[in-house]
Amino acid sequence: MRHNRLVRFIGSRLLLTVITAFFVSMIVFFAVRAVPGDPALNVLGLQSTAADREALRRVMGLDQPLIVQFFNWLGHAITGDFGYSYSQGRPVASVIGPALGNTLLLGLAASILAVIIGLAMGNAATSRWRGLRRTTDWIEAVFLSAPQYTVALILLICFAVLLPLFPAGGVSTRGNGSVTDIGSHLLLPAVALALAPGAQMARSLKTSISTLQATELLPSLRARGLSPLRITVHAHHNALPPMVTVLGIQVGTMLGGALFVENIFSIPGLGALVVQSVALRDYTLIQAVSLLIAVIFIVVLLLADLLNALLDPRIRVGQL
Amino acid sequence: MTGLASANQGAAVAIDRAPKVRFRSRPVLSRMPLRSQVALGVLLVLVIVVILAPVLPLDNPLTGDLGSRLLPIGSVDHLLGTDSQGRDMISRLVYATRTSLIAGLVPIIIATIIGLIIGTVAGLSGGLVNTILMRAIDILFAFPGVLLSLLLAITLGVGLGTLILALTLVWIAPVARIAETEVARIRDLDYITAARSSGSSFPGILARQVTPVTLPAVLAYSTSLVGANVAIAGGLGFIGLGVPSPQPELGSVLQEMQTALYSDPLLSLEPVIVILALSMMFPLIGDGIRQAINGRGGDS
Repeated sequence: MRHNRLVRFIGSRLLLTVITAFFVSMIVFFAVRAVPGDPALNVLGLQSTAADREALRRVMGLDQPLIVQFFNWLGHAITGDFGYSYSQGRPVASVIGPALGNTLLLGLAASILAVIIGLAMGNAATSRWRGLRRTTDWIEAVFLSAPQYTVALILLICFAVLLPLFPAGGVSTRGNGSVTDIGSHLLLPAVALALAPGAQMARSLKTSISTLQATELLPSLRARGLSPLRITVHAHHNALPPMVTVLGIQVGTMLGGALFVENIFSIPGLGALVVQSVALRDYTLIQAVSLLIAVIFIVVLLLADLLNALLDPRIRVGQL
Repeated sequence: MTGLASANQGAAVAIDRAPKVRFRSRPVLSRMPLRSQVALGVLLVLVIVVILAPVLPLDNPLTGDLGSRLLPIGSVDHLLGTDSQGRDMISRLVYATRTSLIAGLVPIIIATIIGLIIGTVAGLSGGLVNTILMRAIDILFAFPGVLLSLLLAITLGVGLGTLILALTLVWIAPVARIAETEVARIRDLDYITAARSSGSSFPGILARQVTPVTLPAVLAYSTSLVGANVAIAGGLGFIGLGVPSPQPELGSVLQEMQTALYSDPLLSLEPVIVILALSMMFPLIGDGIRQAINGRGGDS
């Protein structure tokens, strides 16, 4: 019975994900196809003959109806074939591969930092000391609203230019792929991406803990003789599902911020690739990378929901 | 029996004669916490400076003296230095702030009006209309906002007008969702049922029972959104998708000042600080409005 419900929850959630991904890919495709101008002219340049352009349009499939083009593109994209990038001179898939790895690495580092920031600030915001609570309140307000690229530039100027403690760009020093080297390259951009998500998680943790403090649960645990540490663990267990949801949503913020932050720290990731392909007007590449970023976000939201179903039994027995 | 009746009458008389208590007699502004008031004050000063920019004694933001390029902060004629084309930074920043405030405020104002209508319709109608509208909004939420605005900016082309249109489209969904949540929260409350059963028309309920509750909440949210919107507009300008080149905009000024990143880091920090200040001001004001509505004003 219980397993049935869990299976049904996962099934309906998967279906919703597929439908969302379909519509999202539609938006990506048509937004880029609606860009005025002739893609063939973009590739071949103004000196090309009309016949050449016509031939290329046939090769690119642009002579077919839009809806056919969309399903062709989607069908190929599902199998990992995103077409040919004219600005890079090689298949899009081979351009995306390494960039995806870098962005996932940066995203993972930022997520870990965000969780640490969220736990620390959430606990500080519910502490017994008024001064600490108010300071945390202020820091939270700053973290929540500071655009990630301004944080990135301030960190870059403070800790890589004025005080050259960290490298100013890249993922690793050439010929040195050690963990500490990669870590020192990724720390500043990861901090820039993690502040706002961390503050959002802190906010969620704060709400959960203060809701809990208003109930009898914590005093009753204390009365039963549990150690303060065990009580804290109980409080955090309750706060975990909403925090997971917030982190899932905040991955979207991180992916969006990565567009600028990767650029500032010269990290060859998906975000830098989007900006580069925009500058070069390489629409095949823009479509592919945008779709990939959107799909990563959708999958993360799915994972967050599934993780919540495991953490919080009420979700799998309650309504979707 | 008679005692009870007279007691009831007495109560009715007492209510009739009760002094009219005015709730929330203090104006909204004074119910905001101090930091929101400060933010509002700074914003007002900025708006006045930006409107008066043409009559203020500022250098031309578009032309510079190539002989005085990248002067440091504190130079005699240029207190905040000059950019890589010798243009005065104070003047550049003032005019850039003007463009950025327009790109930050206008999309939110339009998106708030449209989002409020969509959200109210979805919230009041329920059923299939609600499902369709809210699912469509969910799909837009599956896009990182920055990516969506970037795609729209590419599609619509470069320019202040198209930038405003792209950003408006991005923010309709979030506003509509908040409005829908607010409407759904109060839709089945007794006072609305009472209004309906006492014969109020649908527009009447909308105007007297629904909007007075949803509007302040949505306004507080939208005010906060202006900060995020200024940030995205600046980001798009930073990667060359904002307002085209000669017209200064904070994002493009930020991008131009990257040339001074190593030679004069503090100079390149100037536009960063302005964007940071603008994006933090609006959430502070929005928070203040929220606290003023909830009547929790001051220290929480």
